[in-house]
Amino acid sequence: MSLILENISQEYPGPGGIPTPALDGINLELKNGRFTTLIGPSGCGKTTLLKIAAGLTRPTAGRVLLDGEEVSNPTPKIGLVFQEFALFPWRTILQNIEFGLEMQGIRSSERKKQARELMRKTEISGFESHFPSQLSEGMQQRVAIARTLAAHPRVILMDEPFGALDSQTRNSMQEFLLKLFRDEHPTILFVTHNIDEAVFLSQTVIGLSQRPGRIRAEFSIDLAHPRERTSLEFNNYRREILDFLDRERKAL
Amino acid sequence: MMTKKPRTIPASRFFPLLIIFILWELGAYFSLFSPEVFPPPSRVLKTALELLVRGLPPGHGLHLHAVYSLLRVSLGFVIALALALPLGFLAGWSPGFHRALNPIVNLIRPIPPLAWIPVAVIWFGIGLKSSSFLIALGIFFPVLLNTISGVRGVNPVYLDAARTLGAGEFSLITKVLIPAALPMVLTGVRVGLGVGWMTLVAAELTGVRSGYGLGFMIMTARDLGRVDAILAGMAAIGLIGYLMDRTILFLERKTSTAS
Repeated sequence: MSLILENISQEYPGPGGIPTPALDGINLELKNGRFTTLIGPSGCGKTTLLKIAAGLTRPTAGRVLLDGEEVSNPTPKIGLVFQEFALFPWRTILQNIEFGLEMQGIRSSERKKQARELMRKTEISGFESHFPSQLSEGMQQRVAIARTLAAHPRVILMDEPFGALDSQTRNSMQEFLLKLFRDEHPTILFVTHNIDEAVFLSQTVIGLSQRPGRIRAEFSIDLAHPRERTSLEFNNYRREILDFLDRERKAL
Repeated sequence: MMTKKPRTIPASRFFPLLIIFILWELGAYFSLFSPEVFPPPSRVLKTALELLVRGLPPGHGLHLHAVYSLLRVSLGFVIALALALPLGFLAGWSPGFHRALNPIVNLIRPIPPLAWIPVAVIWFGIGLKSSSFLIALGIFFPVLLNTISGVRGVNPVYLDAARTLGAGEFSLITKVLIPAALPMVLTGVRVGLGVGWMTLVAAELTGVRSGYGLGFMIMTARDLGRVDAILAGMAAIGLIGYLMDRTILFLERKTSTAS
C-alpha cells in the first residue's frame, strides 16, 4: 500500500458559469516500488491529476491518501518532476539539489555531502557550481530528478519529464531512469503521451479517456528489463495501446 | 562553458565622445564661438580642478557639493526602497492588495516629481527633508511598479517545485519569490535612481540651506555668469549619475546570470 487516489473528480469554472469537468471519478492505487504510467490523449487532464496527487491542487471531489493519511498540501514525501525542469535559475546545480534538504533544516555540510552523492548517482558530477542555463536540457532534467530524489520522497510523480527533449536524449534519459529505478526502487507515477516511452519504462500503463479523464484501460507490461524497442512483444504492446488511444480519439 | 558578460568597458567605446570633445575644443580654438559663453572642454576641466581646490563660493569645494548631493540621494533612496519594496512585494503577491493600491498609484504617478517642489518646500521647508522627499518620490514609482510586475511575473512552476520540496510560506517568499523577482526589481531601482538624481539636482536649483549641493553650486555660478563652472557642475552630475547607473547595472547582471 502506498499512494491511493480515491474517486478523484475535478471541475473548472467554464464559460457562462457552467463548470467544465476535467477528471471524472479516478481511482488509482500505486503499490510500493512499482513503475506506473498514465497515458491518454492530450487535454485529458493528466497534468491536473498529477498536481492533485502532489497536493498542489485540491480536487473538486475525492481524496489522495499516502499510507492511509490524507494528502491536502504539498509534501516532500511526494516528489514532482516537471516537463520544464523548473530548476531555480539563480541557484547553482549543487544549491538546486540541496533545496529540499535545506527546507528540512539539515545543516550545510551534510546537505552538500548528500547532494554530491546524488550528483554522482545521476552522473552530473563536476557541474556543482554551474548554473542551470549552462547545461544541456538532458542534463538539466537529471539535475531536476536529483533535486527531487534529495528530499527522500516516498513517491515520485513525473509530468512528461522527457517531453521537451530530442529523441536521442529522450532515449538515453529513459535508460538513465530505468537504471535509477533498478537501483533505488522508488514508486513512480509517470505521465507521457509517447507510447514507446510508456512500454519501454512501465510495469503498468493506465489508459485515460478524452476529457473529462476517466480510467479506461490498464495494461500490464510483462517484459523483463532491459526491453528491446523493436522486438515482437514490445511491438504487440505498442499496438495494443495505440489501438486503445485510436478508439478513445474516435469516441469523441 | 561559463558565459561571463564583460565587466570592463573597452576604451574604444569612448572614442565618439572623444571626437566630440576634440571638435568642441577646435571650435573654441578657432573662435567659432565665444569661450565665455561656451567654454571648451580644456577650460571646463581646468575650472573643475580649480573648483575642487578653491571651491565656489570659495571654501565650498566641488567634492563637498557632490557629497551633499549624494547624501540627499542616499537618504531619499533608502526611504523610497523602504516603502516601495514591501508594498511592491505585497501587491505582487496579493491580487486584492494590488487592486486596492492600483488606482491610488495610477493617480499620483503621472505627477512629475518637480511639480511637488512647491508643496515640498511648504511642508518640509528648504533643506534635507524636502530634497529627500522629492528624490524619494522620483525613485518610489519605478521601483514599486517593477517590483509588482517582477513578483507577478515569477514563473508559478518555481513555486510549485519549491512547495513539493517542502518549502513553507516563509521560505517560498525568501528563497524563491525574492530571488526570482530580483533582476526586475533592480531594473526598477536603476530607472528610479536616474529619475531621483535628476529630480534632486532640480530641487537644489530652487535653493538649499546648507550652501552645498551640485544644483546649488550651478545656480551660484549662474549668478556670477561663470559658464565654465556651470558646465563643470553639469559634468559632475553626469559623471556621478553614470557611475551610479553602472553600479546597479553590474548588480542587475550579476543576479540574472542564469535567467
